Amino acid sequence: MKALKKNMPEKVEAIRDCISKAEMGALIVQGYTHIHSSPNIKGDRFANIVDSALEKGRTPIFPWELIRLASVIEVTSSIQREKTISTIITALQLDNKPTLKGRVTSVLEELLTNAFYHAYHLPNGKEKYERTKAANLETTEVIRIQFGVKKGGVFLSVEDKAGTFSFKHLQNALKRCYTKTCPEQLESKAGGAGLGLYLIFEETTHLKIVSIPGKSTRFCCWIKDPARSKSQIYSFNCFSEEKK
Amino acid sequence: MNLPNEKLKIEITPSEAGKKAVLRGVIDEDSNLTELLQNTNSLIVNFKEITAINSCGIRSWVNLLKELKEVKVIYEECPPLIVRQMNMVPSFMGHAQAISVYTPYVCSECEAEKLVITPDSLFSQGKITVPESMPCEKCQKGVMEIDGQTKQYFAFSK
Repeated sequence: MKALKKNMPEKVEAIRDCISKAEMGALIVQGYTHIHSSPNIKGDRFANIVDSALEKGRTPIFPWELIRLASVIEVTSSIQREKTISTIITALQLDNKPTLKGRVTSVLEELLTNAFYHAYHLPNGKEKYERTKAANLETTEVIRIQFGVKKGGVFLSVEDKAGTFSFKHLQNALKRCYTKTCPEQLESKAGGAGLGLYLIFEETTHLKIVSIPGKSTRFCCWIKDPARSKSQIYSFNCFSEEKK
Repeated sequence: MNLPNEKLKIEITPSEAGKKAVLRGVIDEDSNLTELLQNTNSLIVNFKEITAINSCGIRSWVNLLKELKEVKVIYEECPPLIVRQMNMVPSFMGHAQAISVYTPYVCSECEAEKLVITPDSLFSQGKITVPESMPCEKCQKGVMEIDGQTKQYFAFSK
């Protein structure tokens, strides 16, 4: 398996193992796009799925994506954000699970904020929608949310139609936030996606990002229910596809 | 249209050593935290009724703490969502001291969840003596255990 090769020359195509979220963050900063925390990566079925997909040049679908079970909501205004999150929390029946509810709410909030305010750009490269104002998207900019629940955790997916995410954004965010003295990001009054990306990364058990530059970006997450699983297994995978 | 700014309520009252602020609602980009810039030696912040905080709220809070660098800031009754920020973003804790947090427990039998107020005598300076489990009052069959990893939950107290 590629994961076990030493001195891997092509970081993007290699699966790496790690022992903690901070170490995973450090590997992302180095350029690794596929990282699994399994203590036995050869027997890790998710790592095997990625390995096989990379061989075929495809983006894999993981079992935790609950494709057949997931519900879909589409939103076009940031004013709908809180109501949408509340609707999803109720649909997922998380009201009696405060810890999981808190994590899901936090991740959804940051994913939607990124999609509304940081995904869409003007031709001059500036962000199209100001953070301090309501964002009313155009019909071609609709944000698609998928969500589902299964014993063990919650699946979430948020997709924008901009495709402006770059792996470099995430690398910069993690580099700043895993450095204990990270004042430049936290003190910025102008805002930015950095801290939000870090929170998404920290709160999710499995995170898959599929970016099609100029077309869409999709964040897919599995958030484990800590009440059902004390497992410390997590993964990160970032795929970039070509616009068709 | 500017977004409304009514999601966070702050109630400030005198306390023994200074002032106490009880926060209710959501800390986000619309939160006006300037009320907390009090002329006092000590400020107790009660987070019990905070229901959500996002990255913009965290950033505002970190900036507030910087302004309060000469003030003794004490966090009390921190719910899990605040404890998570204390662990994930060290600057959110800054020079503040947490004197009590809510510890989440979950029943292995009926999955009931319960938040138990935990004083700092049980987690100060990284020495954690918080009970790992307790009988479930709801189903009276199962055992309630800490929801997640104890060491990770109290990592802020290092």
